[in-house]
Amino acid sequence: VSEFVSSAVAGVALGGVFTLIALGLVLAYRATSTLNFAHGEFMLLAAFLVGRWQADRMGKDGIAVVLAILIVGAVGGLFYLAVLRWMIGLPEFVGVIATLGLAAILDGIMAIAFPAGSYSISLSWLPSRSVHLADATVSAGQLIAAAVSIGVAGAIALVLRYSHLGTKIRACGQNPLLASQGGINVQRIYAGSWIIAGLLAGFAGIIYGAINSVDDSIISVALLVFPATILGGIDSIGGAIVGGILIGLLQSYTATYLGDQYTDLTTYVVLLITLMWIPQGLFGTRRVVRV
Amino acid sequence: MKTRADRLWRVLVGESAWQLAIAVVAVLTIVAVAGDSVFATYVLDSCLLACIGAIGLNLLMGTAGQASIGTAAFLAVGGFVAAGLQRAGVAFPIAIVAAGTGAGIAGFLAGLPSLRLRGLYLALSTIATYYIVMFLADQYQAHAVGSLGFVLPPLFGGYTIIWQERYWALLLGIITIITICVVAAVSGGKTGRALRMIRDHDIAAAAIGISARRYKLGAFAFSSFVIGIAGGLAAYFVGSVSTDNYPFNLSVQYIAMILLGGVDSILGAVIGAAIVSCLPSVIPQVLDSLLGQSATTYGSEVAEILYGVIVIVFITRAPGGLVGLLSRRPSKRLARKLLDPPPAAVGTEAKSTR
Repeated sequence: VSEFVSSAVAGVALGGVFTLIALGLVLAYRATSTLNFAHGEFMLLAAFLVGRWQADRMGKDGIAVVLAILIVGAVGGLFYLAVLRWMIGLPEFVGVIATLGLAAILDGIMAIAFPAGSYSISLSWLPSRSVHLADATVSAGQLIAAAVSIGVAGAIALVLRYSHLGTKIRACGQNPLLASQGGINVQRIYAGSWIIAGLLAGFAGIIYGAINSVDDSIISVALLVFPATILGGIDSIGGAIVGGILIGLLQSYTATYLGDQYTDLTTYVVLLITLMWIPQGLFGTRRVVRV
Repeated sequence: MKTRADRLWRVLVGESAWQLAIAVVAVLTIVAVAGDSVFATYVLDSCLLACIGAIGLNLLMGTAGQASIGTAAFLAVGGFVAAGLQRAGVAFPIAIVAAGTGAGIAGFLAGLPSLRLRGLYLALSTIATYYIVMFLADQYQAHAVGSLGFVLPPLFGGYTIIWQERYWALLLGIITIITICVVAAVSGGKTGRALRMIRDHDIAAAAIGISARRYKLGAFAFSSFVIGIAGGLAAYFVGSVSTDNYPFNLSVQYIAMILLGGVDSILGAVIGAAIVSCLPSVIPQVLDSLLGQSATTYGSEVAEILYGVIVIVFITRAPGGLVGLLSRRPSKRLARKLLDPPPAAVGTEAKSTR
């Protein structure tokens, strides 16, 4: 039982990070119909920035975290303004390839800027000590990380659901033409979506880096979140949260009961099953073209 | 308004242009064999290997229009089959054919989702293929040889290093040219027309009796067969096979090759493969001579950045790739603009390019 509980906590902590990543992916997808293959690089960039800051002991960690997240947000916004904005009318897949190009650019830049390649992040509000929960020993840091990331993701989902801005973002996602006719600056909303996607990726990268370690394996974490976005529904904000937690739990239980090497396999088998039977996901819009 | 020069130009760089592709490969091979530098010959050999893979992927992604980010998986299948058979004592040619066949079967299975999915969703399913293949490869590697991977003895072991590379260049050049001929025959004939019909007008294709199921699975299987051959050859060429040799980004590089050169063009695949596989070796040298020795440390990183920029620029500014740029000569575009042809002429023009 203790194994079950501690993997549940680890799974929800992982799922919380996945939720943040998935939410960013979904927002970017809703804005420009682009699945962002550079999301892992976004995460790694933020984690590297904080890791290097701490390694060099440059000052308060809080500033570093905020700065790193803002920088990644700026990268997301700039990518939209410089590249994706000009892709209106081109096939969706063109934007996806462009994000692969962005990923290569960021990989190259990060290899130059962070030659150590591996850092560690310690955040004062993510303690490494463990606590007891229902006769299981779980990491306090993981509990807090789970709470914080799910809290942030939930808050953003609520903002998108109920605020005026959220209505605008959803309107642009559903029908850009009508939205622009209604007086919404569609391009500004899209740029904003990409900035928020970047911010979320940066935050997720820092939290993931703090629970685990900071090296380029973070990039493959984002690849493991694609199944979560598809499972929840690629254009569903609530689905991103549910899908993220489900995939997090799946990976954690797979690692506990089958072994670490099986996590990629089960995650992607779930993706295949989802694609074949419910390609729109649990909560997504049913508009997938089947052949 | 077509002159003889225009027609010749289209034959040389158009969709079914394979003669020029063979010429490019022949030049690469001759340069590789004639060169004195082991390193240069090695780079050109890798380049020829990439050509084979890119031609295979181009048939699937370009001609048949089926998005795939799973190239690394098929290269891995080819590599692992070749390595496993080599360990079992099977001769080189049989191992290579088996590598292709194994990858072809894997491709057939990976193509099954294409009967229901397309575009981004199909691409995601090929990523699933990648992870499943890498899992199986990892298990096989762990049980057979341990985490360091397979080691293959050099194929031309009795010769000096430079002659080994030269023999490789000859072998790869010949195989690449054979590949071009076979793929050109497939994509230039009835099969190619059917694949392009499915790509561009799938409902019409079904209406005139083209079986999407048969052609799509066939395209997946044949393209993976070619990629698997490249993977098997690469295993012998590099001399080692390990799961670390097949990162996710490898698939991305192959996509970049065919986009850069020109989608649905064998010549484009060859040019794209040459550029993408030479960038990491050439850029450091260029930087070296431009900025002095100190820049060398960042050569491969700069190459990666440049590669990303090229991908973004080409996908946004020149969706037809280099070949697309070539085949639409500015003078011709200008002439069309000046003459302002009536709609009927545009129609025949569009038909004749197909």
